[in-house]
Amino acid sequence: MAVPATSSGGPSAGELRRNRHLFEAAIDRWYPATFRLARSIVQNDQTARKITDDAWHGVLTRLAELNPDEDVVMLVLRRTAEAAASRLAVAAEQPAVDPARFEPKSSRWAGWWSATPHALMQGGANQRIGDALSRLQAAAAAVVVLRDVEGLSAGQVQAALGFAPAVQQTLLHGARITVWQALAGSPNREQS
Amino acid sequence: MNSLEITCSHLTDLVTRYMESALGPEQQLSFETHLVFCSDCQVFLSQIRDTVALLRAMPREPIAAVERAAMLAAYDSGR
Repeated sequence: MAVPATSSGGPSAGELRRNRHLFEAAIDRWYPATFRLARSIVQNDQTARKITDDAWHGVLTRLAELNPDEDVVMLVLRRTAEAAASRLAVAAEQPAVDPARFEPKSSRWAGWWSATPHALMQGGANQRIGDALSRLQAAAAAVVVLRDVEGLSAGQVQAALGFAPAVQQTLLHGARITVWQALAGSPNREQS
Repeated sequence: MNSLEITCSHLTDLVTRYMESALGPEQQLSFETHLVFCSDCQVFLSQIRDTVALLRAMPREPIAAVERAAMLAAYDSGR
């Protein structure tokens, strides 16, 4: 079987047309990823399911007409993002690390650093991550889901969502800081 | 402070661009030089890397059987 040469590592349109097993493998891997992307943007399972189904069906109905080298997975992800494009506006303000963490005289953060985030010591990391992702603006959630959760390259995320590299890096940074804060905790939260 | 020095707070702002290999050579040198001397920022970078690893390890919900069947039917009818 030929190794897929598409940017996502998924099958090309030509390969999918010829090989049903490849298609099955593609939907097993990428349908859940598409749904996770849609849900990160619209925050609603029913709407996300419809967007995901529409994106896949829209591509499948045109499968015979697509360029044989077309990366079907990237096409589906782009259609998913386009379906929710109005929600992908980028907010000006991004989360940042509290500078007081690095103030030597700050009693609030004194001794807070440790090699292991507090949530990892206490368990429940996935729940905290899920909660943090649900609090993100849609654009940041979409970027972190594709880049970190699904493991796409920075270039693939750019191709799917259409953000400029610097904007994408800012969104990804804000998302990672938000998730890290949820895992690392803070003196105020842990003491309350 | 010379041009190569950065603060801890500035390092936290740059950490994602560092991990994405998006810093210029001078900024990267400043970042890595700061890390050598700052144990707090070493811990911070390690925790951000752990955070990314935890995101990557999030459990994946498989496609539901009914949706899988619908996708295969659409594939078979459109091929």
